Amino acid sequence: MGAALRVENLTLHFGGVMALDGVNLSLAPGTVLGLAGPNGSGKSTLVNTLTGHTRGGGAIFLDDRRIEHLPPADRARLGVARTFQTPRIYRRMTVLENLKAARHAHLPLLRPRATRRHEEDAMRAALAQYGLGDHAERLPDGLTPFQLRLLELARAEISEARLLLLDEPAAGATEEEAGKLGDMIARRLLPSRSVILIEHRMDLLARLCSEILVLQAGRTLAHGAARHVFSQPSVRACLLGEPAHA
Amino acid sequence: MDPFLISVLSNICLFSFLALSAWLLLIGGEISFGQQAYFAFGAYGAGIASAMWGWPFALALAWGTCLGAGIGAIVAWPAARLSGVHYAIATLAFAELTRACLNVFRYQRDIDGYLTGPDGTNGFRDIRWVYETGIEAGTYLAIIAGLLLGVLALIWLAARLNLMAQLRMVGEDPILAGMQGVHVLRWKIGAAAAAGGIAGLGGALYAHLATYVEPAQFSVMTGVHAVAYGLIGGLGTAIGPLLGVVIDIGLLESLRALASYRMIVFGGLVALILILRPRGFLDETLIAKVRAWARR
Repeated sequence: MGAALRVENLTLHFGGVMALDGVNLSLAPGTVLGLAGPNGSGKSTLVNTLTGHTRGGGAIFLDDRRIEHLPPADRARLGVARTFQTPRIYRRMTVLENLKAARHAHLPLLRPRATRRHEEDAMRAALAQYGLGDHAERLPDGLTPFQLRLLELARAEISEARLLLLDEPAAGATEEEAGKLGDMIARRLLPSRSVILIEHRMDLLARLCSEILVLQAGRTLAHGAARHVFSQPSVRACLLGEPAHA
Repeated sequence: MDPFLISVLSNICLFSFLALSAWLLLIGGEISFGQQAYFAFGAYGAGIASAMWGWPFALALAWGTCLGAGIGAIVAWPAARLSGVHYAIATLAFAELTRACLNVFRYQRDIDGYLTGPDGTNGFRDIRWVYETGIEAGTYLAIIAGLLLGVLALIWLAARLNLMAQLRMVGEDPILAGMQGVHVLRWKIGAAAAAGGIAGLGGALYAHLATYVEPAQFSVMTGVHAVAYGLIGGLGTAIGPLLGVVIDIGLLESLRALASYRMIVFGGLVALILILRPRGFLDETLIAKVRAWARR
């Protein structure tokens, strides 16, 4: 089951620039929150703050436990995982080793051989599901940007995270690739996880998310059901550049 | 066995400890030009323990190892917060500081009518345990090789337990590793302690073979060689740095025809390898290919 997330008055500034300005949100277990907003609105900063990569003011609760003081590794061990806007892959490890890397810190050192073999079989099966089965033993150098995206999604699935933060998983993808990535996310990642999905494609957000939070200049512009949020003139003006009075 | 061959093999094994020490840090993403300092701590520490305090040889080796590991961890506490060139310079500075301190370190005692112990730039003579106990050169080579195999076995065990994989994660992308649950700072300090311990053990063995150590032996060039061994041999496996040592000491230093050109050939080799194979002969790409081939 996914984790419950509550964020209260999250604030972060870089010098004189307010990157996050009193953001509040709550995520029920197993729900999918879409995070939208123009470039520089604070979406990735919010995700970075949730993972502990950057520290800000305010409170973050994961299943009612305060985590804002914890380093990234401890948050990861509590079940927080993420993907990156530009895929981060260990280039000197094989594709299979990249998947294993997501689990090393979470598993006991000593495990029966049968358990380890079972884990590896599960990872190979996951790679096959993402169309990467033939690449398992190779270094990721030869993978296309689309395949690197798929590898990040496979890794997110293997991580067994309860709160998954997907930072523009379809950035740079063609329409067809974005559709496939959306299918994989819907089919393999969303069930049984709480997810925050950053995305610029409104169709993907509307399709995958039960609710939407729109950020503008670090502040919450709108929050609610996708249909309701995307119909607001202020949101359309912010995201699509439509005149607010239209 | 031919005494010259025993001498060459002993040197190869001893410098393999230093090479493995630098390799471990390279895996963790940092270049240290200062591992010779831990070699020196091991040499002086174990030498003092056996020659002056009368400790058994095994205990002296353990003391040299612990000294290297402990000081490695203490130095890493602040140094692990640095990275790249800053880390390299910090380790270099520490090693030079250590050498400068050894230049003025005097701690001598009357042992059997002889004044024994470190005497600054004059060095530390009469670390005679090996000769007093009548251990032959071949037997001592077996001891060194056995302990080197022990260190390699520990590295193999660490790889089996996925500890080496986590160190590689830290070395390649500490931000990603942190977000996958790996405590980066703890790993860097742990790796520095392990590297210090390995170098310390090598130093302890070296002191008892040479019977004499002096600060000048632990110069910057020793540290540069330690890093170069891994870069030549390859970072994909622990065999890589050993290959680097074999090429340098086994081939260049030991073949008389090449000995006088050693530094020229070695320097050229390092430059060539860094251009053609930046992570050495046995790099991660080659190891991945070999493993994939072995799985078939």
